[in-house]
Amino acid sequence: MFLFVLGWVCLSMPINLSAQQTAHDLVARMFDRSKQLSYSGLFTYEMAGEQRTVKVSHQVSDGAVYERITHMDGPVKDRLRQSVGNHCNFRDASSLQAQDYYRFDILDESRVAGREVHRVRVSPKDSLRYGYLYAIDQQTGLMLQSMLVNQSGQPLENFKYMDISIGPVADDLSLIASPAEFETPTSSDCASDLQALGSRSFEWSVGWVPPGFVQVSRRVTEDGRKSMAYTDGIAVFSVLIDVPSASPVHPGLSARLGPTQMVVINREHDDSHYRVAVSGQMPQATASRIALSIKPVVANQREPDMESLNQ
Amino acid sequence: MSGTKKRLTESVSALVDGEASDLELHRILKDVDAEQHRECTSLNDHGNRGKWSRYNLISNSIAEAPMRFADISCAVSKAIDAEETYSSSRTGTVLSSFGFNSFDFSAFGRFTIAASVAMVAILGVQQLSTVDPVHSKSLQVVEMGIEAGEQTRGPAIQFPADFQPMVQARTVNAGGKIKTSQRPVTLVKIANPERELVRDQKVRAFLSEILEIHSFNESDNGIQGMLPLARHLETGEETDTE
Repeated sequence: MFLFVLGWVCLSMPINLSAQQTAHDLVARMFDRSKQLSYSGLFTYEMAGEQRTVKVSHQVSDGAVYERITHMDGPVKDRLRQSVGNHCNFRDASSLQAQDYYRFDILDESRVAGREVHRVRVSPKDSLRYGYLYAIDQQTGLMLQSMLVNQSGQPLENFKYMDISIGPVADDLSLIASPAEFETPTSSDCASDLQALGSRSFEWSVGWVPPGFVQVSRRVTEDGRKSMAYTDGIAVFSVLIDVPSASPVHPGLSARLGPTQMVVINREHDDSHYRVAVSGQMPQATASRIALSIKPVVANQREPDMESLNQ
Repeated sequence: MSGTKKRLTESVSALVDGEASDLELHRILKDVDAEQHRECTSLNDHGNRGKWSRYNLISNSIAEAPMRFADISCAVSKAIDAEETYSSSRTGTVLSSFGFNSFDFSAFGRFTIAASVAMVAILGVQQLSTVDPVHSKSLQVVEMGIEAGEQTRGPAIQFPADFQPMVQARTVNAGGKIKTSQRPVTLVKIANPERELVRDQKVRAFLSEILEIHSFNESDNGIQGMLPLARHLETGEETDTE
């Protein structure tokens, strides 16, 4: 009996490892495909007991990404967004070893928006992050459905394409509107960003992040707010340092919008008060712990921390 | 006085003082039960029931408690014996007349009640599952007043604000063994913190900006395509219908 069990384990192990590798590859490929492919379609988004239907066009041309988002129900909303690549990124998120922190399983094959998909489950190995269920297009590798589930297995959101056409967008978004009509992420150049993050002889130090998260970008908005992004290859969270004020604007708080958790705390340095915010799809305990670990550190006294060790 | 009776008398005395062991209590109850079957007309001063009554009277007099005493145990026993016993036999007879096999309907009733409770529980859970825990599209404050100093005071792992431990315990008497309560009593119940919608405009504006910046960060660094935009659709400006 023992030999039989041992033999079964030995035979099944390579298969399981192979399947796990494939599931991870599918998910990792989503990163590239979402930035390389042009497509247009109709998706639904369920969150907080509500469902919205949105028409979207995503066009990639000459290294720039143009997006148009039109709400199909409720108030008429139309947004145009443009992104010319994030030049302030200094790490390729696709190279991260997410397998160390998530388990990847291919569940089965199915159909979404009339297309053949692999259904992949991404389960966290700790309680610091959420899990995902993805439906990934077999032909192109584009994600067609995503369901975010909390530690109890309850879905917090469901994003799903009802119809999608992958290929060049019919109406060239770069021509239908003037550049001024597009929303863009506001930031100065990266060199000054980095300098600004360490201005006034001190830097902001993030003392703790969940294992596997690394900083992938930082920027400074036009109004002087500093922003940093961290990812573990699956989830992304942002740190925002507000402009200084003479007194706290409001007490620290924890808030959420659907699956997005936000924690705001007040920090004081050199008689100035700063609002420090952490935002991301993660449990509140995780976001709170990250926020509470963020401190101003005088540059010449700065100790090696998670952030610097990860760079 | 035989050795057995002497031990029983000592046990009754210990019981009055709250110091009797389980074995002694069992022995006393057995003896009292036998006494009650023999005579239930008046107190037998020589029996353990009588001793129990007398000892309690003495205790009450020492404690200056009211000393009026009346043993109603016999009357209660007689009333219970005289009570008509209701059974499901009539229901069984009626159902049998319609061709149903006779079986234990009381067991069936219990099963039906258990099944109903289970069904309600399942439906309740399903209903809870379909209701999103966030239960509102609006921003919600989960916790107010987080201060920076908490980092040094707080534990390494913070519980969520809505974490509500239910601490239950059984009260025990360190002195005696009889006064142990078998019913769990809730000793600590931490109140659920108030959850309120974000009404403060400054807070709301800042949270909106956080979401907007996070949305761009997700789009740039995430793997999920249009999902970050879908999450923050509310941040879009309304436009006039043309």
